Amino acid sequence: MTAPPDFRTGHRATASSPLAARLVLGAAALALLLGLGGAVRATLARDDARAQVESARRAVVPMRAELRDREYRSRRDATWRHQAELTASSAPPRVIADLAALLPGDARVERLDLRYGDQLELDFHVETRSPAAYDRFLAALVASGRVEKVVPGPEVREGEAATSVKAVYRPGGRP
Amino acid sequence: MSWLGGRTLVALDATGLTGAALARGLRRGEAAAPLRVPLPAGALVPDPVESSLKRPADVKSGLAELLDRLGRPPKATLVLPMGLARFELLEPPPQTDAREFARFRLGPTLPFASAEAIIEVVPAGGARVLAAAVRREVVAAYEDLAASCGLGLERIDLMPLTAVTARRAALPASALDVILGDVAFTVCVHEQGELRVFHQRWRDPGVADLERIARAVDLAARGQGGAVSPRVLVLGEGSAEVAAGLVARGRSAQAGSEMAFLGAAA
Repeated sequence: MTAPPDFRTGHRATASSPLAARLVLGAAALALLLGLGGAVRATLARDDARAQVESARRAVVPMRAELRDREYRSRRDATWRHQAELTASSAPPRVIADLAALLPGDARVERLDLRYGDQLELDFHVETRSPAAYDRFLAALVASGRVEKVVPGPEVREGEAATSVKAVYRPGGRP
Repeated sequence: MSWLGGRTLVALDATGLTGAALARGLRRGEAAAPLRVPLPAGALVPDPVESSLKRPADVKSGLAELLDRLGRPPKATLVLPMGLARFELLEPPPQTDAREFARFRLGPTLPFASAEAIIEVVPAGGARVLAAAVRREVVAAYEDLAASCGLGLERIDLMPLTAVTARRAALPASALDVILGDVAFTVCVHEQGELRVFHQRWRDPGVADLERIARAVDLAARGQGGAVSPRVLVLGEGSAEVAAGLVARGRSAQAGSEMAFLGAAA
């Protein structure tokens, strides 16, 4: 039985058939549900991701501290090992012997300081009978290859020459 | 009060308003004689594009009077006048929604946007449907009119769909009907249970009106190759005069009852 025609403006909200309207409404409801489901899933995934990030951050903190500690200990151990090696390879008698070998006959070392760190720094006071002897000593010192970064101090050249010299000792350098 | 057990019909047209109360249940089909309230000329002019209620106050006054005489029914079926809608006989393809097909076919022919159209279809026999498209705002004006009189709307029907449907309910094997409105008329040819021809024409006030109707009747009858009974049934306001005019012009015609005109709306 066909329903009689009805032209009321509010009778059919749209021009579509009741079936089409139901289908559209159903599709809209389905889309809404899917959208809501997607939103809920996205929210849950976001919260999960945030929790994972926070967990990872918390896990990283002690690891970072451990890393810092290990790096510190490694640097400290390396320094100690280097100093130990430097002390072994550049023992004071060896250094004194090397310097003595370079001194001209008319020169003498009055004082010698050895500072063992990352490298062995020498600070010594030398006196020569003549400025020429001092110059020969410096030339021999540089040419020896045993030291580098030679920094001569202020000189007194009145007959005898007296000055301080700073340099870095190179263990195993050119003899 | 008859409307307590039945339905009330209110039909509107340019010259007046017609109201009828139809009984239901055991007294189904019984009806008091239709009541008519005339309208001043120009108060209601059926127009497919703009509001037909050119002088809403006059129409409201007429409707209020009619409702008073009908016993103030809380609800009624409003039957809008001929001349508001565009009609077309269609045969939708199988598995196709008839109303959507009608929108597809009628949409481009309307003098307004298809989206503004209210489209309804009624069975026309076989796979055929008679589709009608009316502008939403035109209907809305009538809804406002009913609301202003405190009348609830059970349904809104449209002439001549009401009459065509009523005729199809008790259809002879073949029939040629003329359905009269105040500003338009319709010629329908029914054959073997199907509505074969549906032509709607504007009326031409004056002597030429009868000639115009007679020509339309002849044209419809010729289109059916003489298979249709030549006896014409004329329905609507002034049906007796038009039937007499057709007889005077050598056609076989008779006037139908007012309730046959309104019956389907019940």
